[in-house]
Amino acid sequence: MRQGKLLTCGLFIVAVLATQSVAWGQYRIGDFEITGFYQYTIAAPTEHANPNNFACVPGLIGFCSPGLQKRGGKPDLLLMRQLLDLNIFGKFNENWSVTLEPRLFFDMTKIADNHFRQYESLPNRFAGNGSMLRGGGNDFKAEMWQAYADYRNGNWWLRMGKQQIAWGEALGLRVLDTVNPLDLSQNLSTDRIFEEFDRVRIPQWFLRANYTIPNNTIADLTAEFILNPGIVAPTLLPPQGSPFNVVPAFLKIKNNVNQGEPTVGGRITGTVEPVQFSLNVLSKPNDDAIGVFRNFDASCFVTGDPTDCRVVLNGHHPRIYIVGGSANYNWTWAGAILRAETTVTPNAPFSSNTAGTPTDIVKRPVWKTVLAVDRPTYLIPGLDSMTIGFQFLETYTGGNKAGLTDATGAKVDSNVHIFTVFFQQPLLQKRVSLEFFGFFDTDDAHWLQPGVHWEIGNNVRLDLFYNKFGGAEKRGSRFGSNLNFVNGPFLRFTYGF
Amino acid sequence: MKEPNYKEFNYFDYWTRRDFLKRAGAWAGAGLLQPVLSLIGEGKSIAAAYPEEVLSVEKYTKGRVKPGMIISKENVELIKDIAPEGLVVELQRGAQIKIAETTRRPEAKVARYWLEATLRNKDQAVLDSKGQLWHKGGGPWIGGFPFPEPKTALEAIWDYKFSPRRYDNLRVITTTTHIDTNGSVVRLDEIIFMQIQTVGRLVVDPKPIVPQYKDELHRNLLTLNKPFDSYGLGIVNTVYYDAARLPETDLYIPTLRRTRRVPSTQRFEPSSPYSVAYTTDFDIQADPVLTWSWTLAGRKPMLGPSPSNLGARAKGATKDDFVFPDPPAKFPRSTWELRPEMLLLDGVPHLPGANYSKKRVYLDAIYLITEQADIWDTAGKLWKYLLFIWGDTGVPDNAGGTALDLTGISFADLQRDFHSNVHFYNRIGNIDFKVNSPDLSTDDWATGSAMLRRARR
Repeated sequence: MRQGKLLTCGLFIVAVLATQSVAWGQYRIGDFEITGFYQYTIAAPTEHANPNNFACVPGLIGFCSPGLQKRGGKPDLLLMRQLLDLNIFGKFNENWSVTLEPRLFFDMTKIADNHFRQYESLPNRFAGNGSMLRGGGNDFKAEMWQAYADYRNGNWWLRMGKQQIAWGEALGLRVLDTVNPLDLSQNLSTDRIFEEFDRVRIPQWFLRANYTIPNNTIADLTAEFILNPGIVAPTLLPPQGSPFNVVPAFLKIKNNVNQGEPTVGGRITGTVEPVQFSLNVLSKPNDDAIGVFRNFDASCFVTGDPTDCRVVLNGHHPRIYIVGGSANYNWTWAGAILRAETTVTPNAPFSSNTAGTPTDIVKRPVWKTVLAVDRPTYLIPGLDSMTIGFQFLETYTGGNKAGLTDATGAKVDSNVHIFTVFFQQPLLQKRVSLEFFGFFDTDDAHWLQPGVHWEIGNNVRLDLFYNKFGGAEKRGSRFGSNLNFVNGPFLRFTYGF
Repeated sequence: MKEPNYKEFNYFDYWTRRDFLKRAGAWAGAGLLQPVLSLIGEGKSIAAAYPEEVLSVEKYTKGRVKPGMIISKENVELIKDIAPEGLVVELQRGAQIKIAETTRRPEAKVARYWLEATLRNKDQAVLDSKGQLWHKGGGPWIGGFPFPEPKTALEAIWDYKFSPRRYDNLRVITTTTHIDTNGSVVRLDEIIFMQIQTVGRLVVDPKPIVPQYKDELHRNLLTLNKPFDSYGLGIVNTVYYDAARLPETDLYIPTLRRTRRVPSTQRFEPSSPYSVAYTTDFDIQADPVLTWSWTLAGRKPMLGPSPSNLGARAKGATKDDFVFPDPPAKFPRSTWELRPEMLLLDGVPHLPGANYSKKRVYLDAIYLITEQADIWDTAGKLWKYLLFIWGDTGVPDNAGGTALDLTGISFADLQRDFHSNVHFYNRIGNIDFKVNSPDLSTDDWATGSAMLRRARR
């Protein structure tokens, strides 16, 4: 009944918006251009309930169900959400401009589905939350996602404020693109893959300074320096008890995020035809919390709720250093672009375990390399070319790995090999796109995302896609069947202006 | 009722086929009585170069078509011999055009400084064995039409392609309306287009070449403002001087928050959802010269759009005015005139994915620009008609005159009866139209780092 009312409300809003003129566009107010979109998203699970919400310490007291949910069993919804996202761009003169991106969320999942207890959608209460400029209650949130000023003068460019900084050639793989942490709290990063991390890459307070170096040898040679003085945000995970929770119920992580730890880095980019390149360095607190045992909370013997007995870990974010680079090459003979990207983190943190308990943090070198190729190809006669992208990622972890676990508590392998494929076939004068994304881990884990994207006029976009995680691999960091509670369709209606 | 004698409407056979045949070999360029180029050099009109019957549509059509007359589906037969096939199809489907007197000034659509450079640099352009254009002293061409009296189709197409807009740089602000067969607007795009010439520069320093970009012809930058999910998308095309080499394409993609190089091979597909225009259709002929083969199919008097079509710049114009007005229509009304000499250039593409069997580019022999093209599909059926209209924008060209530039474009898919029409404005918001500006340089606008620092999202 409740779901029906909410669905009706949502559909009413959709109908009102869809009857607007197809050519209605953005607003201009003085020096400001305002554009944005309203989006309504529904996702439903097709497999089973999230086992992390029922994973209590076995045999201590009572049954684990309903665990962290209010009601046992598979929920009806993974997500029902309304989102209003605005982009406000103001150009005052040739030197100065400002960009603001406020967002308003209304997460209706637990209103519409009574499987869930109250949890906070888009968490607000965590160390460093001041940088999020976010406020609201459990279901409704407003935030200033990005807010920055640009200054351009000759070869100089400064961007100051809350911003995303994205580096690298690889798409959807966090190799060089690790300047900002990710907000995975709503639905991990399972949205339409074509949008990559745009909605979840947490903008941080940075000074970004760019200088294009005049020279006669390397075209567009540019030096970049970035500095976050120490307003640190970590990776934000879904709250326990929420549909996308990835932390088992028997664990509690107390995140120790030290404010005042700066993020500093830089890169050199340029073009020596036919190659574009970048050389990058970065130093920052590790985004993911590395757990170390703190204590065992035995409250369940008092409350009678089995989920109240938990192993408590301190989550640490030690400093890491990353050195790397990327390049692309226009292979004109083949009509393709070849890409490469690599990073070395000499001191990547891991948990060292004794008798299955993380007791210390140790550092190990990690080397990541991506090789990629993009080639539009005419596959189906009479149709536009299909965009085809292929990536291969190898992650090598050096040193002694005995007893080591990563941030998800998973055992660490020396080599991890991942392939990704992306296909996009436009139809009907590019009004409709058939899309497919595949992520394959050679240790038998996969994530598939087929979907359809439909553009209707200027304002309306419809997306229907399906997430499927599977494979024998169950470790937390490996996108395998450990995530199959997420399997299911997503439907999105977007109205832009 | 007496059947119309369609031979009566074959004006070319009646008047001028013999004149063109007689003149062939006497000189290569425009003109039937004397070369047009010499008249341009003396600052005179073209009147002395042509017999009166090709300077007057009334005389040429033996009184059947007169200035002031409206051509529509009721009387389209009258102009079939002097119109591209695509224009005839549009008129048969309900489009209307008005006929005007022939413009006799060569500088009606070509800036004086460009004509002066043409005369100054005459006979200094050469084509090598591959058909690549060079200055005879070595190095890139230095500006002006390289072949003001083109003898071959290749020379003629180089006259246009070397610098399609004839400005050292320009920034134009456009809207594109995509209109279905019922006349409904199904989508509106807003695009800022910039072209920065790196060789053959005549007005803005450095001249004639930007040294660090001497291997390029020009760079094009498109910035999309509408619709909402295209807002902030930037596209830089680096067009090389080597006319056998495809351009490089770099994008700034707002959802990725970074620039990305992509292949340039998808040239025969819609440039955006709903669009009739393919990448290859921009500037009527956007592919590098030597990726197509060209033949000169003929020369004859034909209708061309009048410079009086001011488009959205025509203040107070309504849908009923013949100026290519702003209010959306499948084929906005416009004014046309008899052009005394049009070169018919037939092009065949040699690129992967090409689904055109032929494109006929109609190059005005006096202006040496093209404003129309017919395109046939691989089955030999007429598919598209491209119309690019030029007029006086009224904006200073920073070279002593006013900027003569595009005032309207119609990309027509004749098989689907679908149109993508482009209108040009002198200002939208705080962005203005400008040409030959010292503010528009490659380093400031048309590089990866430039796109990143100017990103609007």
